[in-house]
Amino acid sequence: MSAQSPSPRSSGQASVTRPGGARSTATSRARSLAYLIPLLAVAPFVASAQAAPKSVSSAAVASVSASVYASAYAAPSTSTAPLEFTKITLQSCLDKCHGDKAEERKDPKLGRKASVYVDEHGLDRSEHRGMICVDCHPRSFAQDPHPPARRAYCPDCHHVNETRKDGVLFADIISDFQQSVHEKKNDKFRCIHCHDAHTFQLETTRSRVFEHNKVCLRCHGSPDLFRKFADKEPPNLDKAHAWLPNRDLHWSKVRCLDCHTGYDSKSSHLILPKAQAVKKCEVCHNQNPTQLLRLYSRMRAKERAGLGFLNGFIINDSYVIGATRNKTLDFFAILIMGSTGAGILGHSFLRILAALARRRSGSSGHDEEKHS
Amino acid sequence: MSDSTGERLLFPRWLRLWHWANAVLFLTLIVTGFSLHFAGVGQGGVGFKLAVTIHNLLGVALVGVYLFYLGSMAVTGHWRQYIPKRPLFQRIFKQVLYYIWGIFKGAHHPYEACVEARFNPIQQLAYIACVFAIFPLQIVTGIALLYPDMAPPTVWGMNGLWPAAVGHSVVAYGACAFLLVHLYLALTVGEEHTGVRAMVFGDRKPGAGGAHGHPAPHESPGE
Repeated sequence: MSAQSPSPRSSGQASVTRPGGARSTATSRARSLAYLIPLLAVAPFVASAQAAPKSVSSAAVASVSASVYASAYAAPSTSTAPLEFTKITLQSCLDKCHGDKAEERKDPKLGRKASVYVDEHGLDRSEHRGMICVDCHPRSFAQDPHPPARRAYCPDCHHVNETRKDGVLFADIISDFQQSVHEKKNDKFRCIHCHDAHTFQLETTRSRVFEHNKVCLRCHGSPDLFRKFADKEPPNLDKAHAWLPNRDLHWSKVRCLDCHTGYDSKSSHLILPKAQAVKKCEVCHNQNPTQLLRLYSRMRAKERAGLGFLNGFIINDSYVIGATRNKTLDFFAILIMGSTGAGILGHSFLRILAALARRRSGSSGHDEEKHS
Repeated sequence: MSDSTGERLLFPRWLRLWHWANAVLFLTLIVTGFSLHFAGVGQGGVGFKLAVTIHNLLGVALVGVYLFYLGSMAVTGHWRQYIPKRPLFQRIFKQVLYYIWGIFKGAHHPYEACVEARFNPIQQLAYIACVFAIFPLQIVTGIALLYPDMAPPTVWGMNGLWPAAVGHSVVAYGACAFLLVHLYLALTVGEEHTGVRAMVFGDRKPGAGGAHGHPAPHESPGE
């Protein structure tokens, strides 16, 4: 589904008012991809992430997971009047409860209070901007405070045969995901474990590498959360990446996905076992860095050709040895070296001819010099 | 420095040591540098990861060798070799004339190397540029590439590392061209006591002063 133009729902339960005045109807769609969205298993993980001692990234991660998951567990309070469902807007939800960072509700599943905050600005920058809460949480709002909302169900909008804005087919995403180590090792993973629907952006540049990697580190940087999925300790990331030259620089400039989805995945969803991760430097340090280019898949049209750089669009973000060399400089440098070599050969040739001529005439240059 | 007979060597031991260490490092850095720059192009060169390791280690070693050279220059007075002699332009012209005309006639080198003046005027200018400008530039840009976090985040809207990268590449290409000319002149133009043999064995020039008008100044300490 395009973020700017959400797919109209085919059969409605209730109509709602969108911020821009457009109308859509919620739907119950054939659940062909229902296995992707189990949702109810998420809460315990969030609880662990928030309660667990902070490891590599859990501090940064906890705030994200809270905004992703907690809103679906908003428990009743007693102070406000019910919202009229047909008049629900994004702003009304935010104004009522979800725009307040301090707002918490008791989560019956967690057995404690959890934040119900939704980052309005994050939502406004996300692929889902323009949508309103009930587009994805289409029930339970008849009373206020409402009971836990139904979780977002991604296939409501994202169909198998739909092509994403960057040209990736959702069928390929699902196919990749089914082959990924996440799916093969257990069946707990769902879209929302990685994709925060409230903030998700498809645009991927260096500035968003951190956002992407934060998703991975949510579990791989938190032993407690990792154990929920894998029943074992997470690998030591520092040790596992010790082989990487300039490791920290790579971590800040390259997505985990760029190496851990292998050499030939169609989307970024085919997460491979660690032994199959990309370890060949030339895959990125190359004039045709296929892995690296996936990060810039939406920016390649803007390639800077004027200054003669290979993959010039990467230059704004990073200098990548082998991938961003300057073709013009290389051409002139090789030309100059070739000319130098040719000059040396020519000079040698002339010296040989001159020496032969001197030998024929029976004179030595030094003698001539003396006589002159 | 002098040999067992007390005669001064054209190239003292420290200078030869520096020269050959420099040469080995230089060549290895060129090979590994090309392997990095043209990574993935063809099948030649060293593997990227190995090239990174070698290039980084030898780059640091080259800085050490450079500092050794600066220190030795200061101690031995070798730095005086870099002071141009007057009349500069006439001397340069004479040297150029030799390369484009005299050499074909078998003329003597106008400024044959001697203890007091190891460089001819063109060499002198080229080496001044190399030792005091180009070499430091390569070191600074190399450090920036070795520690990319030290580079400014952006320069003219691009990543701040690219001027260092382009500068490093330009100097490296220049070094390759220099090497070609240096090898040609050393192997084919240098004479018995001043060519490659002299740089290997030190060699000696009988008496002080050159054969072609170099006066015999005071001896440099430590040579």
